[in-house]
Amino acid sequence: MVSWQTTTASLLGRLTIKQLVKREVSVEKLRAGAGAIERLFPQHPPGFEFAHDHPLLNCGAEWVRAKGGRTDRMLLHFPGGAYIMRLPNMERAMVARICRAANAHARLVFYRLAPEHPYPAAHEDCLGAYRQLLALGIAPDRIVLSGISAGGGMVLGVLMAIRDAGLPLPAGAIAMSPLTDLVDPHTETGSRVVNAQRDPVLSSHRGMAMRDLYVGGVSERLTHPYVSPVYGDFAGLPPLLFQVGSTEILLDDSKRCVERARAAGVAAEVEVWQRMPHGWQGMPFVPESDRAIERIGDFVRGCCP
Amino acid sequence: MKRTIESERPPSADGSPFMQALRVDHGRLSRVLREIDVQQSRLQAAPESARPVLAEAMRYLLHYQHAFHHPREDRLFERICARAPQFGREMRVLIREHRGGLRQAEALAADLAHATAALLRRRSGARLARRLAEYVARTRDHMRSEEAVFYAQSERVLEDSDWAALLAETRPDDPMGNQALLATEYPHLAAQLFQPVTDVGGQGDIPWAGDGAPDRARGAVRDGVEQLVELYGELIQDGVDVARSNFATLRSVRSPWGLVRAAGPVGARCCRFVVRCLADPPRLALATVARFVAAWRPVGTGSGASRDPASS
Repeated sequence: MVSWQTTTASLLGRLTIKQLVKREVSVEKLRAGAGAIERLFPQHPPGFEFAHDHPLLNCGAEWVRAKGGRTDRMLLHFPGGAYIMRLPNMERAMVARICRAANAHARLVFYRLAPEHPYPAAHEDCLGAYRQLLALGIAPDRIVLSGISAGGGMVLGVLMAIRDAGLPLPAGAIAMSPLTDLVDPHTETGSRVVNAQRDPVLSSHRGMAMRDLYVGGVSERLTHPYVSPVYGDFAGLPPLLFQVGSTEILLDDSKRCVERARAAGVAAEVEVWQRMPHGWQGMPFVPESDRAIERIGDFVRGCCP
Repeated sequence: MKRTIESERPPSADGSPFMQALRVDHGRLSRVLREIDVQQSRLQAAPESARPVLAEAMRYLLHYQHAFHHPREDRLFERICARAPQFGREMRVLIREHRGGLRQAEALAADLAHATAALLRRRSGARLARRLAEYVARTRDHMRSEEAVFYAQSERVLEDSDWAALLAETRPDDPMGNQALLATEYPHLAAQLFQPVTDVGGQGDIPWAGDGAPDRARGAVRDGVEQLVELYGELIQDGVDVARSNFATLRSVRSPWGLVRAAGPVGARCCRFVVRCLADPPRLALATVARFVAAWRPVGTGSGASRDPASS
């Protein structure tokens, strides 16, 4: 059974966000729409400190620390927003809740956005943030990567880049409803077709146009493993946890990654949540969100004891 | 009184193996809690598959976490209390929580052992599921308290002699650290822990997966309502677009002749919108009714019953 709060949120998502995503509106209008949703969230969730020390070279970043909390676990989080927009307040609130559940601190990376900064700008920012954590003396086995939506895809791309660069890998990674395939195969049985009507938030109507913004119009980049990690090599990656809603068009993005990761010997698992809308982990008013966050906390504790 | 004593002296290296072992226990306990959380939500709907997993999970918690891990923590807490009496009250609370958790786990294990599938399908199944969820929530809170305060402090408070005494204790093998042992002693739990896909929130959400016609009919209505809501969302947005376009057209009018010329596109836009408002919702409603009727037909006799709604 899905809670009434989720049902309500899904209906509102259908009436508003999905319509916005479907229509031919500009990036500015999409960002303005995201700004309107932002007003639902407090700028800084209570009980946490947000610090800006040790800035990154090309993008914004924040440290999220529980007031009075003592821990050496570090969550490196990449926000979502189709690489072209973001909801910083929602991300802060969600990361704070994950920190509380996992007894961890976090580094929130506001990577550069397309179309002003196409790939590989955002990818380099996120990889740079990981390098910075290592340079600050944080042990890689105390770091867990996390990301939601496009940020979830970024997590996998950055993990592959970390491995390819010969850097020590983090203890684990969490991908919440990740976007892992920018080629967008519209196969008849794929979730992008089967769930096209059932997804309460996302629509693939304008998928190609939005993806082109991220890769700067260079279509050859779409199959690059750091852009579409589902086509990459998962060998050697740390434990992975995926969470995705059963009615999301991105359902197969997670399932295919888990299949490939397990075939490569990686401890990967996907939680398919009954009828949850895209990004429900970031909605503190739905009970399933708390449950998902608690489960993420369990996963972090498991791979980073 | 200020509780933190981090600055008093550097952490003792001797405590690391002991503390690391406790942390690993917490990591494994968290994995089992995640499984209990999934299975408790299925307990009432699918007791045949959920009950054995839950029974084994509780048995594991009683045989390892409650039998060895918590007593080790208790001994650690007692030593911290002896060295830093200001933590006495919090330590006693944690030790009390260990005892309470043990009683709760024993009661849950006993109830799971005696429950039948028929019983679990009734309200008692929902009550037991709720108690399991409470147990999971309390255990998580308890772990957080331990990690945030006492795990962080212990290596700074205890002396080398304390660690030597604590490390001298024998430590049994944790089945969670040995996949083969786990599969032998807890086969149902092990099978679940290594699944690649976990459906969370009941029985998953596969449309038409239920054999019963009522399930299929409910699915058809639900999908129809969702599509109707989406259609109204589109119509609202279209209405706003039409109003904006018409406003822009009328604002550019500079003469009576211009007004006459503007009436054409304004009228056409309004007409198209009204036709859509009148035609589309009833059409969708009829399609939903057709799917609802088709869903009541037995599987295999018609074209609608076993078909995915999204493809139609």
